[in-house]
Amino acid sequence: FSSGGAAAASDGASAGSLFTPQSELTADELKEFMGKRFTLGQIPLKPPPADLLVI
Amino acid sequence: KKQGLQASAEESTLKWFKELQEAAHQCAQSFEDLNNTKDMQTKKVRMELQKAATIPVSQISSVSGSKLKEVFDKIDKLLSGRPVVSGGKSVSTSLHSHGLEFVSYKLAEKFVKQGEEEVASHHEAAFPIAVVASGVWELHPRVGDLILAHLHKKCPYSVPYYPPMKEGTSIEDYQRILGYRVEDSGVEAQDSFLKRMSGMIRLYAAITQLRWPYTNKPGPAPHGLNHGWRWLAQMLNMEPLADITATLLFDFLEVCGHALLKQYQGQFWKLIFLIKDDYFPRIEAVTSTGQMGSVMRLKQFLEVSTLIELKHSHNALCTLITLYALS
Amino acid sequence: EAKTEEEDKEDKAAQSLLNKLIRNNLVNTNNQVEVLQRDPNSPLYSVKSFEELRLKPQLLQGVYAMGFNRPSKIQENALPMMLAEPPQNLIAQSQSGTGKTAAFVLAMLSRVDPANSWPQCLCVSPTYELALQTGKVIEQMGKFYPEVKLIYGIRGNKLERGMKIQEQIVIGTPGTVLDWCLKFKFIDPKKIKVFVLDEADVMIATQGHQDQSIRIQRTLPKNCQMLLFSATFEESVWNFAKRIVPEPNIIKLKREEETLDTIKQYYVNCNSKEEKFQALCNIYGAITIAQAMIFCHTRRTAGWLAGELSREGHQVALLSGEMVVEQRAAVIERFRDGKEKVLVTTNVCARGIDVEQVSVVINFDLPVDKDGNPDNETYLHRIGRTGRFGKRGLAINMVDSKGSMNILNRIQEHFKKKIEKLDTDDLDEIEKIAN
Ligand SMILES: Nc1ncnc2c1ncn2[C@@H]1O[C@H](COP(=O)(O)OP(=O)(O)O)[C@@H](O)[C@H]1O
Repeated sequence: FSSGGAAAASDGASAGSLFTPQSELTADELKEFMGKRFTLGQIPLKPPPADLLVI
Repeated sequence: KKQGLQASAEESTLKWFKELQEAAHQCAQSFEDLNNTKDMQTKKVRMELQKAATIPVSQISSVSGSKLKEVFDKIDKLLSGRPVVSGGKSVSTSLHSHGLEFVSYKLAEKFVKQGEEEVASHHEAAFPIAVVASGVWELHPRVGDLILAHLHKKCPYSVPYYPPMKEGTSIEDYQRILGYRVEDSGVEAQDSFLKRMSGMIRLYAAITQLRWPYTNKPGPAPHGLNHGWRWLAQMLNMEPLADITATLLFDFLEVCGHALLKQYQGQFWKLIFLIKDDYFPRIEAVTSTGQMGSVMRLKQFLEVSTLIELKHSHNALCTLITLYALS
Repeated sequence: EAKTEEEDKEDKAAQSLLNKLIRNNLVNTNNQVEVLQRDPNSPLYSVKSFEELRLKPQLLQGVYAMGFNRPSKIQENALPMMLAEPPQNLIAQSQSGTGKTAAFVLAMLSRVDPANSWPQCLCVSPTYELALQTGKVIEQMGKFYPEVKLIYGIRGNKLERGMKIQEQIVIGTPGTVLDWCLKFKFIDPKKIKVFVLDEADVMIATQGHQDQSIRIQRTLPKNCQMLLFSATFEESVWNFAKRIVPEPNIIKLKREEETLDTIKQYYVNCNSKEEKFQALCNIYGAITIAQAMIFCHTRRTAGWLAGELSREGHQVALLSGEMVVEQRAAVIERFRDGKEKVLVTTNVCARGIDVEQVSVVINFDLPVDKDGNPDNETYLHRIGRTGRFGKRGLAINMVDSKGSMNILNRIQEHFKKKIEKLDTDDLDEIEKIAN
C-alpha cells in the first residue's frame, strides 16, 4: 500500500491550491475566465486565477 | 473538445477517479487476511478494531464543539497508533499487522455511510460530520483518499460522472453502479435513492468548505473549495440527467454555494448565470411533470434574492463553527 | 418500581400536539382512500402531480419550497375535491402525518381573494398550540404570496374594540373566533368563503368547543365551503360532523393496521443487562446508525442504560412518563435536531414519535402489560418508529430469560412474522442485516 496520498488531485488543480496562476492555464481556459460569460460545456475545471475574480 | 455539453466527464476526472479506486482496492487487499479470518481470536481483534474505528463517527452530534473534539481526538489517537478505550477494553492498531490499513479503510467507509444514512434524513448533520472528517483528512491524508474512493463508489455523481451502461452488465448490476440499492424485493424507490445521494453529496459539499478549527496549521482545507469549483464545473459541462442533476445541484449549491461565491466572486456569478440562462432549459427539457419538485427548488434557489438571503444562512454557519472553536 | 408505568390518561389534545411538534415528514401510508361522493355521477378526479391542480404559481412555489415532490395519498383525492368549482363540502378521516393539514391550508390559500382585506377563511383548532402549528403551515405555504395575511384568534390576542380585521385568514380556537364574529364583530361571518374545522375528535373532547363550533357555523353564509377533519369517527364525532358540514363528500383513508412487512425483526440472547449493553455496542460497531430509540421497562433500567451509553461517548436523551408534554416535546425536539442521538425511553411516551433519522428500534426489555402478558399493541407502536418514510426498518429485541423468550414467541405468533435470531458476537452476521 503506497504510503503517500494515492493520487495527486486531477491535473486540473494541484492538490491544495484554491486558485490557478494564469501561467498554468491553457489558452482556451484563459479565454473562458477572461470572458463575461462561460461557454456551455467549456467551463475550466481548474479553479479561476486569483487576479480574475472581478470581471 | 466537442462543442456544447459533453457526453461524459473529462479524462482528468476519470483518471483521478480510477486512481483513487485502485488505491482503495490495494488497501483492502492488504488486510484481506484479517477480513476473511476463520480464527476466533483474530475475529475478536477485527471486531474490536472495527468498533473503535466506527462507533465514534456515529456519535458525532451537533450538541457542542467540545464533544466534536472528543470524537476527533479518539479517532486521531487510534490512527496515530496509540491505544484508545473502547467498550471497556484498550484497543490499538498494533493488535494486527495490517491494523492501521483496516482501521483507515473502515473509518473512511463509515464517514460516507453516515452521510448516506444520517445526512439523507437530517441535512444539518452534514456540518458536524464534515468538520470532523476534514480534521482527520488533514492529519491523515490517506484516510481522505479512502473517503473519496468510498464516496465515488457509492455515489458516482460525487466524482462527478454518470456511469455508462457497459455491454453485458445486467440491469441490476447497472442499477447498483448508478447507486441504487437492489435487493431481492427489487430496486429501491426513486425518492429513497435521491435522498441517499443527496445525503452523500451534502456531506461532500460541506467537507470542501470546512476546516477543523482546532489546528494551528495555516492553509486551506485538505480538500478545499477548488474541488467545489471542479465538481460544479464538471457537472455543468455534462448533459443533465432527469431528477438527479437538479436535485444534486440544488443540494451542492445550498451547502457551499455561498462559500464558493465568497471565494470566486465574479467567476462564480458567471457559473450562476450559465445555470440560469443556458443550463436550466436543458434540465427542464429532460424533466417530466411529477419530477418538477427538484427543478423548482433549484430555480427558486437561483433567484438572486435567495443567494443574498443565503448570506445570512452562511453567517449562521460561521457562528456555528466559531462556536465549535470556542466551546 | 416493579410495576409497569401507569398508562397516561388518554389526553387526546396533548398526544395530538406531541405528534404535531415532533413530526416533520410524511408518514407514507400505503392504505387506500375510500371516497363517497355526494353527487356520484360527477367525475371523480385524483391527481398524481401538483401541476394538475392548476394552483396559483405562488402556491405551487410554496408547496415545492416546503420540500414536497408529489401529493400524498389523501391529498390526491382531497385536493381536487376541495379546489373544485363550485366549492363542495368535505368530511375527511385520516390519521395524523398523512398530509391533511397541508391539503386544507392549500384549499384556503387558493380560495382567498387578496384584493379584499377582510377575513375570507376561518379555521378552528381544538387548542392554542395546535392552532399555532397549523398557522406555521399557512405561513410556510404562503411564503411567496405575501398579499395574503394570517391572524391568530387565540387567547391573549387582544384587539381594540370596534376594529375590523384586515387579514384574510383567521386561525384560532372556537371560543375566541366565536367572540370575534358575534360579540366583538371583528369578523363579518357573511363574507367567509371557507370554514375549516380541524381535529373534530379532539374538538368534541374539549369542554364547550362543540357548542361554540356549531354556533360559529350557524352564522356563516349558505354557500360557504365547509371542511371537517378527524382522525377517528365514533358515533359522537360523526353526529357533530354532520351538523357542521351539510351534504358532505366523504373521504376516508382506510386506517390499515400499521404493518410490519417493511421492518426486519431480530432477537438477541443475553443473560443480563450488562450482556445486553455489550450486544448493543457490537450492533453499533457493525451497522450504520443515524439515531436509535431504545425501550426499557422501568425508569431505573433506562437511567442505568443512559449512563452506560454516555460513558461510551454516545449523546443520550432520556424520556419517561412523568414528564409534562412540553418537556417531552423539548427532549424529542433536541433528538430530532440530532443534538442527542440515542433516545432511551420507557413504554409510555413513545407513541407517535416519528423521527426520520431513527435507523433502529431496540427493545432492551420486551413490552409486557400489567399481568406480564405480551403487549402486542405497544410492540407494534414501538417498532413502527422505524421503517417510516420509505426507509427500511430494523428492530432488535433483547431476550434475557426463558420467560422473555416465551413473550417473544407469543409476539411472533400474534403478528405471524418471523423474528430471526442474531448472534451479536459475529460481526459478519450483524453486518448482513443492514444491507
Ligand atoms: N405531499 C407531501 N409530500 C411530502 N411531505 C408532505 C406532503 N404533505 C405533507 N407533508 C409533510 O408531512 C408532514 C405531515 O403533514 P401534515 O399536513 O401536517 O399532516 P397531518 O395534518 O395529517 O398530520 C408534515 O411535515 C408535512 O410537511
